[in-house]
Amino acid sequence: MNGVVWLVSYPKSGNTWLRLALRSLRSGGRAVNINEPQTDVPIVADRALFDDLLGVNSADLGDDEVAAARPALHRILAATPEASGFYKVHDAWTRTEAGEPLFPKGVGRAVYLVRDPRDVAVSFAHHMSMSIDEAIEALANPKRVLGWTRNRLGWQIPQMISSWSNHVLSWLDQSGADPLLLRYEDMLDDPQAALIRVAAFCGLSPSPQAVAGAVAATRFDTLRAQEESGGFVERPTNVDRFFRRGVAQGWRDSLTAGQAGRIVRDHAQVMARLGYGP
Amino acid sequence: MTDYRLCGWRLSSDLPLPELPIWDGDQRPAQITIAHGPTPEPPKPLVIDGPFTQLSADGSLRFSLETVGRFLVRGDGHITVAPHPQASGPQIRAALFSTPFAALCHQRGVLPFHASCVVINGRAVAITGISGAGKSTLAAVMARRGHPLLAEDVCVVDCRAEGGPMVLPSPGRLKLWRDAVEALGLTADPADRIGGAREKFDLARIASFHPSALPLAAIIHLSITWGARDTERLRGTELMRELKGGIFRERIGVGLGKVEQMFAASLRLAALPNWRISRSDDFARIHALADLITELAERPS
Repeated sequence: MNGVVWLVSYPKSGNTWLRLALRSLRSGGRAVNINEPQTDVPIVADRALFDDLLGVNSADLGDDEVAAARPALHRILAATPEASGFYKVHDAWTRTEAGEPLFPKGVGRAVYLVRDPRDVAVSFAHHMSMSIDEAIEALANPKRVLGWTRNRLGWQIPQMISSWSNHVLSWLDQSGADPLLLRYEDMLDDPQAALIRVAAFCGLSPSPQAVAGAVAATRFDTLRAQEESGGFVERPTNVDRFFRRGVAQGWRDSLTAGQAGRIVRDHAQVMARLGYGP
Repeated sequence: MTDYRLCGWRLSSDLPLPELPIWDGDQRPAQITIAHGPTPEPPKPLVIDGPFTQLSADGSLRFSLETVGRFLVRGDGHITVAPHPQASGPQIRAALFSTPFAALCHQRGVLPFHASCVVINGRAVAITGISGAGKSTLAAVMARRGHPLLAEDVCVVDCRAEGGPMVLPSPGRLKLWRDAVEALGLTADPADRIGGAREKFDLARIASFHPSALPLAAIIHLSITWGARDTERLRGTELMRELKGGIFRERIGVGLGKVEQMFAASLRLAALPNWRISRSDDFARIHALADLITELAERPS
């Protein structure tokens, strides 16, 4: 694979699943170990990646200095042949204070993975150990930031994810990146077709066996069984499990009518555009 | 100009470096000089061209931090410093001892390793891991137990020494975040605070630094994982990958043409006992981990 591909999504939208499927796909459809070091698809906000590529201790910099340097990081990644590959991205597409695009045009290609925000809210609440109402609040907050820590050194640098609607619109309409749009629900419905689309977009040409193998290797019950027996490194400390349900429309038995209604009100336009009906 | 000792080298500087011992060795000329002066962009072509670090094909490196200053490290061991007028002494020295110091090490054939290093019964034990893994916190626990430190954050190893890798003493701040300070049962003193909006402190005052080189006895690879994981001896390709990942500013080493030198050094490190230990996302087991490190330091290879 030549160049970099950003696997972009708002958190809890199936990014980990897609990443594991691509790992299997690229190894010919072999089984995946969810706890293998995720060097194949690092998160682009990984502190060590920033420090290594830019030759600086991000922990010694101010937030504004880190934010200002990120476009350069993405350019260097895209221009470094041995850095070719997939990168997980949760940032909204924004500009730095100086007006520079965080992901400059022509630097990498983007796959945009989206999921019904009602399901995202339920999953987000669980993942962040917050109430569903707090998660709904977070999804509506245009200033929401991920990975900012005051009292400890986090392994990620801060990422502005904004609101769920802003996140979608920033990547689909403002970025100029013309991303491949992939719905979580479609990937669940026909994982084979979804993987073939992503592979073609990225210039990969996997064999039918590799695709079938990747689908089998990343079935929800398989991933969940692995987590049950060996844990999962990405599971937050206070949460019982990461691979929780893996279904579409799970919100129907987890949200009250009022909560679902609030999300629809907050995100009506973007939901309608993506086919997330009532 | 004052002459200091750094990693066994004679360093002559017009920038005060109170963390370093004064040179008390022979009459050799200074191997490294640090002087205030202009810091122009290194000559093109640049092999690394980023917002903070620029490395020229001629081996000179410029490191720039907007609010701290610029540092130009030449291949011959001469460093020019242009501090920002508002930057404090500790800020300038912290910057100097990060990337510019790493470049100096790569140039001079010693390995800057991303690790803290503690002395346990006269043996040097390095604790490596990514930023945030807990290296400094463990070093602080060990320091509180009376173990001197040899290095903090960047551990300089001379892998060419005949008797095996030697850790060269280097200056360090003991940078801890509030969660770690509190896990240690210490009070976060505003006087120790560094780093703007973040709750970050320099606790070098609680540690003593060992003044001379010691043979490296073992390397502890610290990672954060889910649940309890067994301590394991790292070997083979996995170990080589971990060691490569532990080289501080490896890209600068590559840019300086030191790939073979770094590989040879890694092979020497791989011959030592290398252990992987893990901690949970909080500091619940930090004292048990310190016990474990003490025990591993003594475990025969």
